[in-house]
Amino acid sequence: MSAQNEQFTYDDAIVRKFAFATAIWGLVATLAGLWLAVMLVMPTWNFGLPQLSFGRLRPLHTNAAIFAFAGNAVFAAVYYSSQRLLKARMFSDGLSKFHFWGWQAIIVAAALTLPFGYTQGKEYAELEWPIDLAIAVVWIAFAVNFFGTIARRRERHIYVAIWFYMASVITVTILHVFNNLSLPISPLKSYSVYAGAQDAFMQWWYGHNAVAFFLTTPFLGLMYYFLPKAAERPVFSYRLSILHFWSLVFIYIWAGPHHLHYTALPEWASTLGMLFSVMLWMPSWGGMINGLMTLRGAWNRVSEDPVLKFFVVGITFYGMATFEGPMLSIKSVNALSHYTDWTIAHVHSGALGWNGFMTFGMLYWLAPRIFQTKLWSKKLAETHFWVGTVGILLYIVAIYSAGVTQGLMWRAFDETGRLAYPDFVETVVRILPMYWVRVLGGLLFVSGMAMALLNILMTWKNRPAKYEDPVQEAPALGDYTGETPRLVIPAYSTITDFGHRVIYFANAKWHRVWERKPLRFALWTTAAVLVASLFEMVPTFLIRSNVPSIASVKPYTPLELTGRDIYVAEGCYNCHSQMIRPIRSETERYGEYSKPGEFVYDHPFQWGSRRIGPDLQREGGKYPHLWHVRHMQDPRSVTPQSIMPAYSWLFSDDLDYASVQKRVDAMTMLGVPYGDAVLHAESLARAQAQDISREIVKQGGPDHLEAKKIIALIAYLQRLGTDITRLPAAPSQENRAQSAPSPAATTAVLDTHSSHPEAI
Amino acid sequence: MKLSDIVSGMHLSIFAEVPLLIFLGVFIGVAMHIMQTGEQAKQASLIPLSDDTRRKGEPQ
Repeated sequence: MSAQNEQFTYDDAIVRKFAFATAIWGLVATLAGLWLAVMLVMPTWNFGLPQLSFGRLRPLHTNAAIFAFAGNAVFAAVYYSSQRLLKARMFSDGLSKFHFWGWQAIIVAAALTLPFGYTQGKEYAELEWPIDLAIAVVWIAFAVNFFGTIARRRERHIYVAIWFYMASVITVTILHVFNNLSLPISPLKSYSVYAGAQDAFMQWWYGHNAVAFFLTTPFLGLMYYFLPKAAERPVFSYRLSILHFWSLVFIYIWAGPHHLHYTALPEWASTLGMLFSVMLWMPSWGGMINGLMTLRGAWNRVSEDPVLKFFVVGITFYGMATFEGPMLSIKSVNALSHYTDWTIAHVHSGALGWNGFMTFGMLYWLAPRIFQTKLWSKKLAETHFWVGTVGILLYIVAIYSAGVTQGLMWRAFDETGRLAYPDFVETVVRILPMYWVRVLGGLLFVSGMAMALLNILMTWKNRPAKYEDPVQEAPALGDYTGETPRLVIPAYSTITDFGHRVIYFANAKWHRVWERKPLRFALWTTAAVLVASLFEMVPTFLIRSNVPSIASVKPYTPLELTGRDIYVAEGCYNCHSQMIRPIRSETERYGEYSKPGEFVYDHPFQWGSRRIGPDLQREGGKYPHLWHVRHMQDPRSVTPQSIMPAYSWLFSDDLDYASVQKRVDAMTMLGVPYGDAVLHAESLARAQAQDISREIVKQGGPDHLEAKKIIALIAYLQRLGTDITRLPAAPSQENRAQSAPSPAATTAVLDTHSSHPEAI
Repeated sequence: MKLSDIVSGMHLSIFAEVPLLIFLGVFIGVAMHIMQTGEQAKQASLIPLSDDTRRKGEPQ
């Protein structure tokens, strides 16, 4: 019996909203990026405003690019294509609207908190806990709406684009929840529940998979739908797309530790991350080839159609980025590239080329359809394509060059065996011309973004007085009447039961059943992600030898802890690492390499991922307090060619002593052994501040700094990396927090065996 | 005895090799599956091209 035809309409209003948001936030995100690029060559161009300083603005740029620009693009793609692929209106218009306005409110909340220094201090996961909760609520609303639509679909087979969306929805939920587990101490301040190496591991499991499941899999879903639509021909190989999907979902989740090569992460985890990253190359290129080959027979149209042009270049950038990613994960390559602009170039070739150009292609294809009129200017779209392409090329070529140049300079030795460029700033000055080229490239890309916004606005302006809402027809999805493969074991057979099971599996009929059962499909995707995550995390979190303890490493004093929070709030980790790798050029430049046990009280870790300035892991005791005062007041007064901004507000803003106790209490709850310090944290902090302030005056510096934020930051900087050169406390005092660093102690007492080689 | 003591004594270094075997199994399973989906795959690939009604003003 055939099912009755049902009538329904699609909700394109929600697609229009997300398309507009994509174009608007894209311009905001790239303008912020351009401003950051300018400040790298003109470090005084924050005009003394803390909200515009590099460390605070960079998280705004990255979050806006990922979650506002790419995020809204993904949602536009999901809402448009899912309804059509599933032949069903979205499950709930109310949830769609809640999703849209909730997501925009989250973006606005990010813009209102990050420049004011409210941050968790973890890259791409900077947003504080109330915003994280809001993200969880909005994301779940989206998930309910999405899976509800699948449940009410009228198309039995779930097309591969929907698989990619499903994997994204599920995995992002898991990543977001686990990486953002934190202990709040106020409405806008929290501490990560993880510390040191474990926090780093969790963060890069999240960070890498955010790239995978927020910037790759949903965009592949977008590619598998919008490219066939634009090319007006089916995907080159649907089989290859299935292989692409499962390989990516399975492999990607293992690859995160490649962000932490030669750091204080267990060696085995880092090697595993490298191996799976290299394996990622094949499915990624399979997907790229599948995309490009979809244009077979339509290449003649590429020269005339800006949509196809954007798609071709976008997919090509996907291929380039997914070749380069595995290459950068190889340890010997990573030793050179890590902490340099090479990583920044790699990220931007992916974000601007792959995510950006796929988004533009989709927007130009969507605009005439959702606004039901012709695209305002095809010529402007063509101009955008060329301006954007040249912009990306200028940007990445300059920054690749800057990265390789600086990386080679850091590791160069002269004929006497000493560092050829011992002064870090020498390596910065050398790459400044390339930073200017980056500004030019960024300016071109931003111009293209403005053209896209203008084109979309003008197309919208030419919309009909009332949108048509054509009625669609499709039969309801009744009970499946086709062949349902079942495992049948005959009572009498020459083949054993086990043999029948093998044949059933080998015929892979089970998968055909899954493809029609989204719940089961979703469960297996979740299992693939969780199993991989647990295999890496359980040993890292539970095997004690992974983070050997160091007897002399003690908790930060209350003042140092407060200073650390200022370090986090100012986003210092955006330019400075705290991780000396066991590489000779690094130990020569910065001192003893970092040990996992040194970070056991670091909630959150602050290892960083880029050295725009030098590493600070062994900064403690390197300079007198007065040097830090002068340096923070005016970096160029102590390092004439420095590109660091001045931090004048740290000298005028009062230190919030009332909050010190709360900070220490929270650390105690997280298991940091503060001992007696937990009873009088504020008075300990005031006493240490007085000591440092008196010393600054003695050294010829300004008076009365003990009440200002700068004093806590100096206390923290002077503590950094000093614990391993201090004698361990006597047993009776084992649980007492140190009240001040002890520069007199000299003997390293390490109860550790690092997994690192001594040097490479 | 803490959980970390138990896990530390389990000698889990094999955890680095097990995922490769799991992946191999999954890969072979998926590869076998897609070899069986000739006509179905062809039909599935046509879904995006038959999912919409063209409206007035939309490009052909």
